[in-house]
Amino acid sequence: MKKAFELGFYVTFGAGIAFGISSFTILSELFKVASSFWLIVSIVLAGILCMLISSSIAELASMYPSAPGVRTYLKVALPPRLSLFLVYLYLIFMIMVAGIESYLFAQVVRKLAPQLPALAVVLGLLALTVIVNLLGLELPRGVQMFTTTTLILGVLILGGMGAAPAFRNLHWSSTVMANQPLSQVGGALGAAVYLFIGFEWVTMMGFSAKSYEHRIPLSMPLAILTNIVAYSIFALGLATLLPVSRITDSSIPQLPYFVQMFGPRGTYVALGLSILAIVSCFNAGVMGGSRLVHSLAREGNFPKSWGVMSLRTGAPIGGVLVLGTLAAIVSILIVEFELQEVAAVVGSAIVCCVYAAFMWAILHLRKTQPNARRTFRSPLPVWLHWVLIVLMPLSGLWALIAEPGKRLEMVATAVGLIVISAVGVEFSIRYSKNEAEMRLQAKAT
Amino acid sequence: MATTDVSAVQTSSLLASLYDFQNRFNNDARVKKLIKGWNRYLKAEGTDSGETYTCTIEDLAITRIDPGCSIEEDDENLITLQAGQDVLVRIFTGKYNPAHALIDGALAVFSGERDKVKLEAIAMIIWGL
Repeated sequence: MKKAFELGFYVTFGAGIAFGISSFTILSELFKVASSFWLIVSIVLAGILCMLISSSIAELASMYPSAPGVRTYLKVALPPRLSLFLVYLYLIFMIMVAGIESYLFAQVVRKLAPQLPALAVVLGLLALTVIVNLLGLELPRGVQMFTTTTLILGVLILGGMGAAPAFRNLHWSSTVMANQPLSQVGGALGAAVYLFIGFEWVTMMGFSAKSYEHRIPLSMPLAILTNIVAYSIFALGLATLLPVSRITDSSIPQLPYFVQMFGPRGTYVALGLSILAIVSCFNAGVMGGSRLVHSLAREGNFPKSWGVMSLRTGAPIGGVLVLGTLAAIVSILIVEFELQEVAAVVGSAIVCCVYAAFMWAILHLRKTQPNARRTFRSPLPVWLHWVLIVLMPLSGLWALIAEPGKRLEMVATAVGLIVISAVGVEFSIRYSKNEAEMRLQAKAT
Repeated sequence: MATTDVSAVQTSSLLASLYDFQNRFNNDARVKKLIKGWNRYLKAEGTDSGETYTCTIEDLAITRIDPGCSIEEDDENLITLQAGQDVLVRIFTGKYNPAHALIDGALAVFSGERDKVKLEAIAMIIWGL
């Protein structure tokens, strides 16, 4: 019973953290580059890729159980600058997600209360999350499981209701193969990876060393599979109930979908699902991001003040405030320039590269530390690792240029973030050197 | 239940470092303030040596250090630290920041998230790490 609860917790945690309001935005984006059939193929393919990657992440986690995943896995395998560079990109992705999620939540809220300014809702939500995290309040495991299960069951049932006519009329048409399916899948694949990002966070949650032998390795593909089914059915429901133009016109396509299904009361359904997504994804994201800032500060990469923690509650105060501030700045930019779709796709491209780095890390560690403790070993052959190492960044790049109308914005944003990360790495290296020198000087005097 | 060779216990550097840690822990007023109502079992497990000790933290102090561990693995009050013996000794003598050890992948901690932070805070207070 306890083992089933533990596995259930891991699965719901992994599935829930990947299922945000922005997942619906990505579905809308996918409809811009692929027909409904190829869109679902892309979701399934992206999910399978993530499942393959999860087996390598499980091996890394079995070597470094309970470690702060992304930082440790890259630190032990890559040169310091490159690992820090990728970690900063990942951190920027998390900050962008906080901005995107809060803005999309504001859009849903404003359908019910149009008089509320979007920025006020965004900043209000961020402030609330920051306060919750400053107080060191954590969601109990049972509540986390309940909210995620309700969210995913809700999406499955409501998506199934919309998709029912399509299920009844399933038939093969030769027109499916027209219009360059390879190009459609290629363009959608990198962005579809976004739908599963976060499944790897479960590696930090292991209850015991034994959890890393079977339960955590098993939980990641199960979480991804759950989301593949939920996203695919909901996408089919969208395609059945709404014309493509209405899906692609909105960053929150779930809203017109529910309104179409339930009338004006559909807005409340959208709000309910958004709140569940905020609880399961957004809060955990802010908490995880602030812990990453805290760890990096304690490591000496950021100013010491960013690593301040509450001695009473243990909350990483510095990390929460820094993450909250940066997320607020990103939110303002997103609200001002409507950058939510660009940020989501660029974020997905970033994580595609980080996942490729994980795959490379496994191969490198097998070579350099062949006898290190591994309680789980990825069954993937080496050639498949190499395929994924090449394929993932390519998918990310393709996603950046898949939509001609936003190509420039996407590429410019990606380049901008790369520059910011590179500058951040330089700052960190100089800062930590100065810190070390100052400590030495202090000791000498 | 894990067992420990008693002859090894007599001379263990890990045990010595745990006693040193106990001494600092019990004599620090700020630590006492931090751990109000925090009763836990702290299990230190050397992955290479197989040595295991359990420190009992109750009523604002480490009251016992026992070889092995008789606490159920899924007990919510159990905090497990796993690392090479040398790493554990360096951690418990303040020479290696546990937060760094965790990031370096040299240390594994199995506990609630708050307990991890509490341990880090204790290290911060005792050694100023």
